[in-house]
Amino acid sequence: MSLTSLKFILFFIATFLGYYIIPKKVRWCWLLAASIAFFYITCGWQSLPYLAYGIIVTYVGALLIMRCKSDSGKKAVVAITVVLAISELFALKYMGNMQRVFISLLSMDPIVNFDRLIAPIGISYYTLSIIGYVIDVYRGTAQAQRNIFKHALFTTYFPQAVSGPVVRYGEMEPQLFVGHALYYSNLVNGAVRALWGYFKKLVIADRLAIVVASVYGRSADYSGIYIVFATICYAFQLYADFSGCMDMVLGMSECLGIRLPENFNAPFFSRTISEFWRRWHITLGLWFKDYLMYPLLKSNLFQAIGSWGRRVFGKKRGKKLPTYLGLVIVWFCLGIWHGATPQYMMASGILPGFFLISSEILQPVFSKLNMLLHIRTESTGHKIWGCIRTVLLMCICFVFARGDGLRHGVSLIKKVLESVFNPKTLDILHLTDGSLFDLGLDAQGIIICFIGILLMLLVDYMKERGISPRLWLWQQSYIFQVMTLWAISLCIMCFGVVGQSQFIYFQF
Amino acid sequence: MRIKRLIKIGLVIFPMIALLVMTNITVDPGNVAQQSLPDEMADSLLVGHDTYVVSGNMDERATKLAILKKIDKPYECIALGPSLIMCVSREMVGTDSFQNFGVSGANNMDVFGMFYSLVEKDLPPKRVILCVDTTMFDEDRLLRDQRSLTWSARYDAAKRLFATGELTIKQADAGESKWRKYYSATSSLFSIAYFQAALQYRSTNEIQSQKIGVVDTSFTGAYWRADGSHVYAQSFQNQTTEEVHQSIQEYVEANFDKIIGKNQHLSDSAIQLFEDFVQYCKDSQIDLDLFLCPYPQELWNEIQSDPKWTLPRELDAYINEYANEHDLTVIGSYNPYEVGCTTADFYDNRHLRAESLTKFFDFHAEADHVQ
Repeated sequence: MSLTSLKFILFFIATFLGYYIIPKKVRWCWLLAASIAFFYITCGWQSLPYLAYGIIVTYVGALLIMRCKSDSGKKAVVAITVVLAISELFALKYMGNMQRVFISLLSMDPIVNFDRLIAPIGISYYTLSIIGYVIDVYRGTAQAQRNIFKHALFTTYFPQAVSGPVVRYGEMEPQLFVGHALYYSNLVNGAVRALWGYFKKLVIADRLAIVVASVYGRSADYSGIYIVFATICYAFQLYADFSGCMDMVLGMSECLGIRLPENFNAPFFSRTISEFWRRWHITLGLWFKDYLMYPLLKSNLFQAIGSWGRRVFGKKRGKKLPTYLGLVIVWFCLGIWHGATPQYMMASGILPGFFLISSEILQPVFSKLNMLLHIRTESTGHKIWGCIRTVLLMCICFVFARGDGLRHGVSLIKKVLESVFNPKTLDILHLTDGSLFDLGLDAQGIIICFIGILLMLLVDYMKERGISPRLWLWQQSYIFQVMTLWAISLCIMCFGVVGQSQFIYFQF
Repeated sequence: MRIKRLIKIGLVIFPMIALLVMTNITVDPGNVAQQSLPDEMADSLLVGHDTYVVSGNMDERATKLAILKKIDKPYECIALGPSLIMCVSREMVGTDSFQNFGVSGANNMDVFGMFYSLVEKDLPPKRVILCVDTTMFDEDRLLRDQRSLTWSARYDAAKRLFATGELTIKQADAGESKWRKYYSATSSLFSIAYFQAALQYRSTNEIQSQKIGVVDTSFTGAYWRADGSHVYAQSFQNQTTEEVHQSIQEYVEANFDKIIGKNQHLSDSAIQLFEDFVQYCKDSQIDLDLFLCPYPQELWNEIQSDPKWTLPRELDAYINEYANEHDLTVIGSYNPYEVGCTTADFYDNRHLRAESLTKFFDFHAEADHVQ
């Protein structure tokens, strides 16, 4: 059941009406029933035992942690619980991919076919949430939930089930289990946000997907400039797709009175790679920071590495060694989380990690260069250049994410690099000779994409300047509000590419 | 919330929903709001009129079901299978007592569900021409194809009939439930895809109150002949060989894996059902001819060269061997080189021209089918 299907919209309307009709005390039960129904409809009953496994393991683990009196006992329970939860994720999500890699490398026959296991929808997201919950209980920042059904709701809450955000128990507990009253502001704000999400997904992302699929599907037929063009399109497609999905999810949840954490903050206005990752998939980055990076840095091993680094490389450089090592581990884990295939390891682990660490290391060099060349880093021009540079660097990662495997990604990068030495193939004028229309979109489609992207960036720019687009809309006249909402709805109805695809981040 | 606020919300939402639904109802390019259309179509065909649908869209399965409900005499010969057989007409078969029950994308549910309906009414045909295609042996497709649910109860009954010879008590209009039909029609009226189709249709056509019409000599659109066979629109028939070649290339690149499925194998249960059906026909003295519609050369070359297209290769080997073993009549071959047809003999990526069907194959009952 895709979020863009009529079936899902009907499902949500039924959930919404039911939620506000039944007594407040049992509203969380209704949400739980709806969430389980969502999992059942989307993945079938075969996935429910796996879902139950994750719920039971972390429920019992958290309770045991509360009961343990010794710190070593608590540590042991956390370790066992996390390993049990992660092993399910590995078996259902990554073993299939890893098995394929090993089979192709070693020409072996599989004993168990992991591809046949049906993982519950959003397992990568909710597993992180429940692991975070167990660690929070261990740290004492959250109380263990004694009601297994409430814990089940935290795990399965359906708007976030598709593609996150990765939520913390501490921020969900006060919202999930109390019955919310129906507030006008929640309803209209949530509905407008969801509508904007549908616009981004159906009008922008799925239209750009046609161009991207044309070029990436027959990349051998296209020169370097087309690959660059399609990759930039993919960057916008990915952003419109994922942030559109988040707008739908957060908007619908807001209608139910439950606010989920933000997952994006205008990432295309980032001036550096590290800033980009603070603005893109925020909840995932924060999760890895809080539950992996910080514990690593605080561990005895990393403290010892820090001391050693200071002795060998000097105080200033040496103290950063544990941070870099921690970053390598975090990005390696992020690569695994995204799919554990060579392609995703490169796109979401190795490359972004390399960019981030090298930009950290080279930061003093860049600062000196800027001073030497008298570059005003606070000028508008430099800021814009910073944004473009960041997006272009991220596009290198996106080539691997969109390509058909690691080899394909390498061949595309090679093709673009070769084009640099043969400027004819990188001539931007190639795109104006009419061949752009052979990529699956007519003139109208290209104009719609262009205007859609501009609107999306305008809304992000407003956020960047600290203006809430929705608040701004509510400050206008009622007629203007209605006209704006009608215009967005009409765009979706007339230009939405419907019934085409799932969300890109759904696969993770 | 106060009433004023509810009205404010309503003023935003309802005009949009009204626009969506009213456009879908008034233009209705797929005739989803016209629940009586299949009956009207069946009536027109059964009185002997070649008939067309004004919008060009018709629920083929619902129309065939309506025909099956209305007939009271057995046909001498029927054709069953996917769209590949839909152009086979009474002239090609050589008898007026012929009905073509081919439907687009037919799978086992359609084929055996329709056959069972005739047996159920005690009107079994004397001869069946069955177009054997990969759709009948693809278990995944059978599970995901919602269109064929019309026949699901009859399909189950057919399986029992072929396996045990036992005729299940008459099925009510089982299969597609009334709720599903209602949901399907209603969801179309709220569908954005349908709205876009309606806008597209409205931009090139006038809205007419008349939904079907009888074909006259000046008509150039697609229509159904009284014997249930299909005639493609002149514009479609007039496609050049180059256009057909282009369509085949696009089909290979974009859609072939959706139709055939990569690394798919013949379904064991489908093989069992097919063999039970053959045995049932033999036991019931029904002549069964298998029609193997050739692939265009480009597609055949692709199937032979790429290891992932296992299904058509396995089917080719299986069906020829099985027909040989059981002395079944086979009309045609999947291999276009064996038949001698070229790209010019096709309307598109898969469908053989009506004149090529006559040129290459003899569907007459007593014909020597070996080419």
